[in-house]
Amino acid sequence: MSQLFHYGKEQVGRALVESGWGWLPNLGWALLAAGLIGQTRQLIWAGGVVVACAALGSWLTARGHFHAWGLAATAQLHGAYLAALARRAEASVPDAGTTLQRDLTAIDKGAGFYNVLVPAVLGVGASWVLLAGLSLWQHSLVAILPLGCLAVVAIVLRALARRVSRRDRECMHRFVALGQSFLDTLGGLTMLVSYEAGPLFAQRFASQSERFRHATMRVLQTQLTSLIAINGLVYLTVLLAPLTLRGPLGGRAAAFVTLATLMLNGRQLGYFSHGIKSQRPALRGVFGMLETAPRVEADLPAHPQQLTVRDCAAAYADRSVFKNVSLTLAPGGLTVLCGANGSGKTTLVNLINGSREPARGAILLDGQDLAQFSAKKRASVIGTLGPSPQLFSGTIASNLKLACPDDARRKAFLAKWQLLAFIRDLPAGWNTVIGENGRRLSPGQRQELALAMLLLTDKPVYLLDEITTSVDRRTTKHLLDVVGALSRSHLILWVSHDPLVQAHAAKVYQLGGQLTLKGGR
Amino acid sequence: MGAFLLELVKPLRGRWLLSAGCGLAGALAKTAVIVLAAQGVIGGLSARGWLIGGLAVLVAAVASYGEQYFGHDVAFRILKNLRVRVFDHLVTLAPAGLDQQESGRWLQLIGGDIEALEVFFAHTLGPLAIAVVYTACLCVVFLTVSPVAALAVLLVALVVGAAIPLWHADRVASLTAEAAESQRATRQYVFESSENRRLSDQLGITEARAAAAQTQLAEAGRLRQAADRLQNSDRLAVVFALTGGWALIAWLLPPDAIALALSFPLLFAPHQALARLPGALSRGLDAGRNIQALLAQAPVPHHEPVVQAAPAAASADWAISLAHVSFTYPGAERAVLRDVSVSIKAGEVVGFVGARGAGKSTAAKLLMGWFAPDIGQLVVTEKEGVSAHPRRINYMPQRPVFFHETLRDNLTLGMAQPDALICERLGSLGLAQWLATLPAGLDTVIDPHHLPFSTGQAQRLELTRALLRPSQLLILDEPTSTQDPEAMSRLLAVVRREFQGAVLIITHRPETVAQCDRLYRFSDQQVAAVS
Repeated sequence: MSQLFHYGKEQVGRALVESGWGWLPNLGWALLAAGLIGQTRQLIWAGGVVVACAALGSWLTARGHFHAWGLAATAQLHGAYLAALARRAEASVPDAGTTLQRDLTAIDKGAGFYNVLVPAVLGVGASWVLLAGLSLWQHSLVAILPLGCLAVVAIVLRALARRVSRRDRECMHRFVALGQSFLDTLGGLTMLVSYEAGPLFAQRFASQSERFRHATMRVLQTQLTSLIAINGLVYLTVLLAPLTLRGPLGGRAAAFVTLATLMLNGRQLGYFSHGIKSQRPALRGVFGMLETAPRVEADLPAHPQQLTVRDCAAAYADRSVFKNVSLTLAPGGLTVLCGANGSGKTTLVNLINGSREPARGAILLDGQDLAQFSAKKRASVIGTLGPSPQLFSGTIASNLKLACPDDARRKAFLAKWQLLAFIRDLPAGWNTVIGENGRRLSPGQRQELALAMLLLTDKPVYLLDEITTSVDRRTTKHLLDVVGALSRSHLILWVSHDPLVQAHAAKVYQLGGQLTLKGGR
Repeated sequence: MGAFLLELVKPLRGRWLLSAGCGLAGALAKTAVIVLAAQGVIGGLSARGWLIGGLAVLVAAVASYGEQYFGHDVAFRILKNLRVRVFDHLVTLAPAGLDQQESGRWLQLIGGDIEALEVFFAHTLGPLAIAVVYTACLCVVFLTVSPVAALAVLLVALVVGAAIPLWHADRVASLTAEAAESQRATRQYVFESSENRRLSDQLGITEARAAAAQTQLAEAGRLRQAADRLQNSDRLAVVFALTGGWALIAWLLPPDAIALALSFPLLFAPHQALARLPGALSRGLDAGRNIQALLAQAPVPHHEPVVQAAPAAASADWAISLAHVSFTYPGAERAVLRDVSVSIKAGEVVGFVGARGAGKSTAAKLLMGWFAPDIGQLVVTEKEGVSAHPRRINYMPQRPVFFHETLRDNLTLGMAQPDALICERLGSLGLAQWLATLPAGLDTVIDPHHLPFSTGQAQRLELTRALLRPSQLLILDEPTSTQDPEAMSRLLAVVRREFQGAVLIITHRPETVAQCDRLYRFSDQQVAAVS
């Protein structure tokens, strides 16, 4: 948790000023108590002036900057977290459910640490200093009372700490699991409904929600157990105050009001700290992500002329998929890879783009071993497209623009290759809204759009894995012409069962335990 | 809005009353401790005073446990019920109503939004009731000393507990709504960034999207901060009200009630709780509106077929047909199908072929009843009393769907099926060897993000799922697209052998077309039968 102090440092001064103004009415009230209850009437005016000044000061500071520390710190945390996500390889990034449910929520709630918890601690501390001053002046022991209370509360919290953190973790885990299963089920809802399994999965979701509720209640129970102790001790301390107070009535009254506000604000602190503490497992995860240092990588050749797979082997667990696979891609014609289901075609693609590590062998780009480059780095020169492409919500035009922001080049490219002919049939044309992951397009349209986007990025190497499974014959032929023409200048490997695709290839390899050259033009 | 939320509390009102009762007892006990302590500070406390004080400390500690426990118990039960209701509702919206799906927003609805309602159930209803009764008690106590002072107390209570929060609620509502909407939009953006990470890496925009998400999050933070700033001016208003009230009361009260005067600014904790509330509450109410709006979304009704008795001489037990059907998608201008008739009988394999967008998939969706035809009828013909379900259809989509469940549950989708049958089906589709490599066999938990099989195998697993569930019609949407030609004809042979009902194949592959008994060719809103 101490890492929280590393963020928003430049705003700490503002936070101190803000907390100072926020605390000042306590001093005003101490003066007022002495004036109203005791007999020194001037103190009433002093107290009134202090309260008014505090309000004015607090209001004026808030007009300029408010909660600046929390705002800056959470912004920096968000930035660092998102940058860390972007830096990491795709495979080691937490899933969307964890990112949203656990991490971003925890950072949002962490704002309470800066905006509420620390100012409250400072305020209580300042009140104690005031109380200690009064206590010295009156020769009373009243300043000892809060310390005693704090010591006992600390012992109680310490005793409960392990149970609290275990239950916090459990609750967090259930919350994330609930979100994951929700997203998961949402993705397949159409399938579930057509198999009449909707109610069953709804029932499962219900029981998961119930388990989460249960976990929340268990967290609450431990929190409330400590609150019984805190409440009891706080009010006991207030009740015991008269026994320690000495001196004239005005001084006693001031000390009493100071002590009581201190104790009541301290009690609030208990609530806040529970709120922050319950985010601890999540924040630990977030800080764990931030600690990984960025990997510095050399540049890959921008215009490679040769990609070589040398003697590669792949295995899942202890089951070998293929062995001794060697293959060279060079410009000057399409290379097609076929093979039975499960023979490892996609695995080979993944070895090349770095999603998987080969069990043996090496992959070289212009003689440079790709093993030293991350999958993300490789993506800058190797474009991969699979049968279920990803798309961003928005319109067809906005997606294409992401692939190539240059309007002129994009339009020229699409026109030259006559890609995306289906847009002519859409009433809204280029501005057709495609929905989340393109769900409002047909699977074939999704594949065409994704391919057009990939080709627009103009990478020297393309790995195309069954990209025309949902595309009709006529379009497949057209795409073959386009990709075939590009293969004169690009390195292209196309995985396909389709005899039509194979007929267009310069080389056809078949994978089945080993790689064999099957044919080609 | 309020009525919708209050309706949810009704079934739990017993627990709610318990919570409010405990809260009231706690508030009164806390006040007693403070007043007694003030009395002690001023003039000493009798033995009875100490005893009452000690008891009050105990009550204060235990009653606040009760208040919080029962209050949150009510809240969390309601939140759970709401989550379940939202989920159930989404199920009824599927599949036709899911076109607008935005998973990130819906996740925020199930998570953050519903959680924001906790404020309403656990921290608003109870404290409001407590504050009202507590104010009455406080006024009675002051009435015994001075009627004018009691009036002043009432005034301070109204200002702190009612005027300030209402004034605030008015100013904050639009700000909170804006902040919440900005948060939902950001969640959706981050969700897509996360789900489409592979694509953004390919496009080289991962860092740019991260930066954009950070900007959005910072904007949402600024909106929240603006709401917090309003809260700060409330706090100041409360300090002013209490300070002013204190000076007034000290002047009004007779000298023998000086203990009340000393403790005065500490007596309004329940009202201060209400004054702190509006920020969080308006967020909760906004979330409530959002949830209510989703629950009010009417599902597109599943279209039920007209059931006809089969003529005695019918060659098949069961047939499904579209009779002279025309259909235009809601919101679209051009009809997809116009006066189209198709029919499929048990035991035959029928192919739908045609160019993209010619309406093959739409016709299948009409057969499944996802949409109702604008003109024409969906007709199921069967022998009388043959089955309880006039139409049970298994649909195998192009894009394989798997859940974070065991392999068994993924295949049966919860229907009880003997393991032997599942293994036999897997075997007949050539997956026995693959199954043997799984360490936990059918109990292997499938991670949808890292499927332990290839796309071709995924499709066979989908087919296994379809063959395991008895149905009258099996619709295969581009079933053979990821299969090699030999595997494909083997699979169709298995389908013919194992599946007794009618089979509909939507395809554009000539090799698959050859496997069909009959074809319908779709083109330009029309259908032609090809034998």
